[in-house]
Amino acid sequence: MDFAFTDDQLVLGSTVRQVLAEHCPARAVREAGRTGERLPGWPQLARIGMFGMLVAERHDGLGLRLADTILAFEEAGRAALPGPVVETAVIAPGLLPDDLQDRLVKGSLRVSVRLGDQVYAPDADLADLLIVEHDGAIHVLSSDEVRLTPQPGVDPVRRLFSVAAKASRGDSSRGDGVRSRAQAVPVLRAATVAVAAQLIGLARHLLEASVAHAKTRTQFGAPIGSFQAVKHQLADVAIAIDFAAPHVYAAAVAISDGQGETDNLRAAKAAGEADILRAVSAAKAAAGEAAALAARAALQVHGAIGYTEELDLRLWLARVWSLTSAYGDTALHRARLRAAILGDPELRRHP
Amino acid sequence: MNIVVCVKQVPDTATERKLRSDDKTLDRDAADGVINELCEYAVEEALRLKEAHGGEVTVLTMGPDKATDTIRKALAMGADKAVHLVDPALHGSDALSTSYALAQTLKKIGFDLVILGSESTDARTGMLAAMLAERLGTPQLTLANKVEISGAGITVQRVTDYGFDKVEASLPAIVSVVEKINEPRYPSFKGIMAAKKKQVQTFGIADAEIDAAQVGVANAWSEVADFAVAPPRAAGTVVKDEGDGGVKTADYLASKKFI
Repeated sequence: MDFAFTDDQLVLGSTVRQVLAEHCPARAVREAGRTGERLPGWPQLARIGMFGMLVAERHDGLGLRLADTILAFEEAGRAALPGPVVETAVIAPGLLPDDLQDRLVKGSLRVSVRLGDQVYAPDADLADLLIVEHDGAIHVLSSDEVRLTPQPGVDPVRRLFSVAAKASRGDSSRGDGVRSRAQAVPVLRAATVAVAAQLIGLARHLLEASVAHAKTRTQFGAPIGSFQAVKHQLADVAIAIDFAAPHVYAAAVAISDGQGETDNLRAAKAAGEADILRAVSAAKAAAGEAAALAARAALQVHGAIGYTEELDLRLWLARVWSLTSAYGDTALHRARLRAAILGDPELRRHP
Repeated sequence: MNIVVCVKQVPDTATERKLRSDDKTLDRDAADGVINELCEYAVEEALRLKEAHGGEVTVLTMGPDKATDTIRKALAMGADKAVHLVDPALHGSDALSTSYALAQTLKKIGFDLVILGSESTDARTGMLAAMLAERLGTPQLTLANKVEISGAGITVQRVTDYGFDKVEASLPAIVSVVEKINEPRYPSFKGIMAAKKKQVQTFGIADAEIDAAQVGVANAWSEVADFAVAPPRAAGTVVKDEGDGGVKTADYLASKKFI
């Protein structure tokens, strides 16, 4: 089996990187956390087709598999792209009804989600639609059918909201059990892996920024990067990223192998199901740990300016902390992985 | 309308560029090749003209095997097909012989309009459009920041020091564009995937009826006599103000003949 990325997959990633370097610089991310443009880079990403990547071809999407697109999510992480990108580009194509899919492809629909292990809906104030799990059924609600309450969160850009349906919701609402919870499970796994890819991208940026700082910042008459204690910290981060990224890519491949199969086929491959479960949890746990380590090392290496409001670094730190706990935190995924390997039913949780 | 866009692969301007010690030509293996930035504007303009007037956009490049990356990029932006002129005999060709080789190829593939970037970031001669027009016997409309086509006529705004000239000609014609003309699109994901399936025709010098005695480093009319690494920047002069800072500064500027 060939795990190397194809030319197309690499170009897809580098295109997203180019677009975001130009249209979503650190300054724009900072502004998104204040009163500025909340979704920098989104119109450009929509134009190149970011939000139709995983939409089926019969809806005019590209019908790609998650493995084809994983580098695009890594680049979104590297740029700390604001907005519900995984929710809109990964979850929505899997759960929205057919008649809404073409709006996804055009990039005119933004979606936030509160499903599975999530307590709050991220970036819900920017969303046109919310996909919400309630009493075991998945509901699709428009933004005027819900009441959003802002919740305290660590990331000023990726804001969290609790979601309550408005009592006045009429019968015309499309909110009644559009999808069952079981249908959401594969979609949630894909989202988990896409978030893991974002964490890898964030970690890569943090490592680059830290290395650059260590080369220019001098102390005791030498660049701090020449001190072993600093070097080792950064080397540990590089190793953690290099070990975590293949887990993420492997999980994307594992999920992609199952994509497009009928439910019957999938049931027949119960053993494959366990592999996917393991791969997804390993990816999220490894990426979360690598990113958390990158964040801690970056904070250390940058010294006393690392945590200041004025330095862009904090935007990346906050995103790491925010995304490590999204779609199951590291501890949960480690527990799931342990349960999947050791078979302890007590530790199994859904999905 | 049959539009041909000439694109060139150049070493990434962000990396260190080197000349080869043996034949003093550009070391194309030392740096990553990217599409010449001005060529992207040329491709964009061709695509816009095609969208407005119909027709087909063909990408033409002369360069080594790895120039296919540049072709791929232009195809991903939306060009329809490509011709890659590649032959070891072409290595080290100067602007004059490059224009000859491209003109021969253009005669083979046919064109109503040829669009080029006004110069490349590596050689920067900016002469290719004029040379091509001369060799092909067509009008040249260079340094365009606006192109309009009506029927068999073409009008451009030619950027000048004092504003712009309005230049009119009839097709077929050669146009070179400046970066103010448009904003090149990013290749869309659909375009990236479709680019693989598009036709890339490879021409050797025999296919384009190019005379080997007129191309290559040995037959170039211009040659690099010698080159040296740019000297490191010398440390600046620091003037310490001890009440006479202004005088010292003025003296320094006078010694450099600035004042």
